[in-house]
Amino acid sequence: MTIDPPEKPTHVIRLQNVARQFATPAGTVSALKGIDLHIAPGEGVAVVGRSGSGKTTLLNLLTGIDRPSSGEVEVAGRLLQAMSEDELAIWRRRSVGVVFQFFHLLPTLTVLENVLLPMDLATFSHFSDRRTRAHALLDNLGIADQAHKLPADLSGGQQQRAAIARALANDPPVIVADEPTGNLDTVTAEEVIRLLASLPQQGKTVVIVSHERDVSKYFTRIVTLEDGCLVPDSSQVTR
Amino acid sequence: MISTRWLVVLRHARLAQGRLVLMTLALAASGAALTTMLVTYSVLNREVSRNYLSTHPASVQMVLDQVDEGLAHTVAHFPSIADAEPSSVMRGRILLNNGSARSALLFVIPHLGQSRINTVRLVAGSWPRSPDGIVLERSAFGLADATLGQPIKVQVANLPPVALQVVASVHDPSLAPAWQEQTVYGYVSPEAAFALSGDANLHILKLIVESPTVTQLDIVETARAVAQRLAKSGHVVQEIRVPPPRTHPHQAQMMTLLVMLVGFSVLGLLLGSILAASIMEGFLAQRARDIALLKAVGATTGQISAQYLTLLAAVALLATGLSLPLGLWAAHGWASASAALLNLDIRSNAPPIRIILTIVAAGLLVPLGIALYAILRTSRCTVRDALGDRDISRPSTWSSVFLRLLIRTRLFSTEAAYALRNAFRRPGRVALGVALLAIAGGIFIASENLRTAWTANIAASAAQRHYEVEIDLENTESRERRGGKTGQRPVQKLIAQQSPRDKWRLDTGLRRKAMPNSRPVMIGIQFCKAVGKFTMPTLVKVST
Repeated sequence: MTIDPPEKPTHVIRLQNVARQFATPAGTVSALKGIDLHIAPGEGVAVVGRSGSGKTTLLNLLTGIDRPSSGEVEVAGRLLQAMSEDELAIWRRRSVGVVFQFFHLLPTLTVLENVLLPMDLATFSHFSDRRTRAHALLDNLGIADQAHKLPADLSGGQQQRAAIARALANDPPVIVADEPTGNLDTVTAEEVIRLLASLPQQGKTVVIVSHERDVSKYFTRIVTLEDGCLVPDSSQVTR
Repeated sequence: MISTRWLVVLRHARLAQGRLVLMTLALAASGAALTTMLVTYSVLNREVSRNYLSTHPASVQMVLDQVDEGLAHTVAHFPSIADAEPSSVMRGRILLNNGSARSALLFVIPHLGQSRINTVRLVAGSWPRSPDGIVLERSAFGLADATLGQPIKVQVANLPPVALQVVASVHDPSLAPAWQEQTVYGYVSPEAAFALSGDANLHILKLIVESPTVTQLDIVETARAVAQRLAKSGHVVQEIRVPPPRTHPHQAQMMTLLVMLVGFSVLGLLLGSILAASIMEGFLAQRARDIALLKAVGATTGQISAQYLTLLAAVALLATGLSLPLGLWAAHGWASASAALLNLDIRSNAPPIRIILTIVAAGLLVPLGIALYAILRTSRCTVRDALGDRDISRPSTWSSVFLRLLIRTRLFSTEAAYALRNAFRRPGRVALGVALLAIAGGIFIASENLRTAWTANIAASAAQRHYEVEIDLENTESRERRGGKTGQRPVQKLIAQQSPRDKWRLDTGLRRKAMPNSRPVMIGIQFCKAVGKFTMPTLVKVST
């Protein structure tokens, strides 16, 4: 008897006819209108589009921060719309790392503690190993010497690197970044983008949202959103 | 090493030191009040009972024409009777060296020091061995200006005073302090009573019924049966007194007051807890973004709730820790002061362990229970709502309607209307604020009502007192006995002689006091001068 090797999953992110509407005093606004999107493991995807095109809504759906009004969102093997808030929180620990535009580091924790936080919540490895890993991540990102400083004492670029280290802390298969360069100067922004773009080489799936088309040169795939819809010919970039 | 999620809470706590100190103080103050009242209540309840029951109080006091030890011995063998003893009570006065006198209540006990019912505890000296000895209640020494070993002059009615040697000091927990009643309590032998009044007969039969758990009704039934048997054997039963069994005469008053104060202290704890919850709500609102970030990196609602409940529990525990010694110290003082008012000895100020556990449980659980909603509400807030400020910025339907109504009334400017709407935007915070004010207002109104009622009650009692001077007369006929005949009586004559221009009036309702041996009659005199300084008439002589 022979055992077939397990099939390699064809996607780590699957969006099926996903729509998201918001009720506002001015009426219902459709942020996403029936999107279908598949992203393979290890793929680096840049989601671009103008302000209000639905980029952040899409990212919020991928991270379980928001829920679709209709359709299916499957990330890292789980259907997110079927999960409770707590299940989503537990799922986020190991499955997805989030990098926010405004860094969103906890201001009362040092940089090192911010990186340790997801590991502590996920009880990642042994307690002592977490500290070693956190130091290693900060070293890789070039901010090891800032480990014991509070986020407020760091520059924007350093804070965003710390946020990337935090996103990588539990070694999740998916990294999602929402306008990670939006608050940085051009040079620092490019450094951060390069950093994120290098992650697919380590086997991570990276989805980055940006309103700047410049990111396209760093990612293999560009997804353009326009008024809540995917632009059909935007999905693949040939270098 | 501490986990970083707990570090977050500790750092938040450090940032909000002022708020946490305020919460601790609020909870400690209210906890101290609760501790004081609950501990005082439990200690006094225990000690009052212990003091009183240590005297082996009589279940029944029967006033007869005459009682002797033989009769007591016979009655002690009646069904349902556990013990019986004869005694008597006389009213008299202690003549002080400065010429004034003090009322005295003299208990006539056949074998002082060997009593089995209504016993007293020897504090100093020794039981009298000769008829000229008198034992004073410990609280009566100052009032009687007496010293152990020195004689005092005792007078009954208008008989010649007799010098009796003060041979002992005793503690009688069943009596109010002498200074409170302005009465000297003395204990004398029948021989001394004879020397004082010429009457050695005893008139009170003290009984203890069997089974300590019987009710007052059972005791009444037993007393009636005894009285019937005594009546059949030719005795005259003048009065049967059945006090509430196993209860100090002032226990109900004291406990009612304490229960009321315990009630106030519970309200105080609620008030402190609502204040703490309100502060916690504000603290969490400030930390909403951090809480959202914790959830974004994988913290669950339960973990976040547990973190902040633990913080509040630590504050509550610290507050309880502060309130306990403070409350115990205050309770010690309160119980001691109350014991002095009741003439009790407190053997131990230690409260029962269940009371301490109750205080600790209340100090922890009440604040947690009240703050639970605010903590859960913040912990449940979604990442999207918190990071997007939606929780704060999204007005609820009712607050939008409220705003529109405010603007339409044109009573407020638009700015004022928005400010008002914002004040009511968070229903939880509004509810806490309203509850805080309601409880505080309730406590204030209740205490004011109580104070007013108390003052009014005392004023009403004073107004119902129809006389300013009480004169005890020996063998004076009451108006009832004289068949309602009016006419000037000796006291009227006396008063007319003493202050002819003052309009004094005899109280028409003369009251007889049931003192079988001396039979004094108390006459109330109402001072009717509309304007003028009250002058105590000098009592020269009263004859009947």
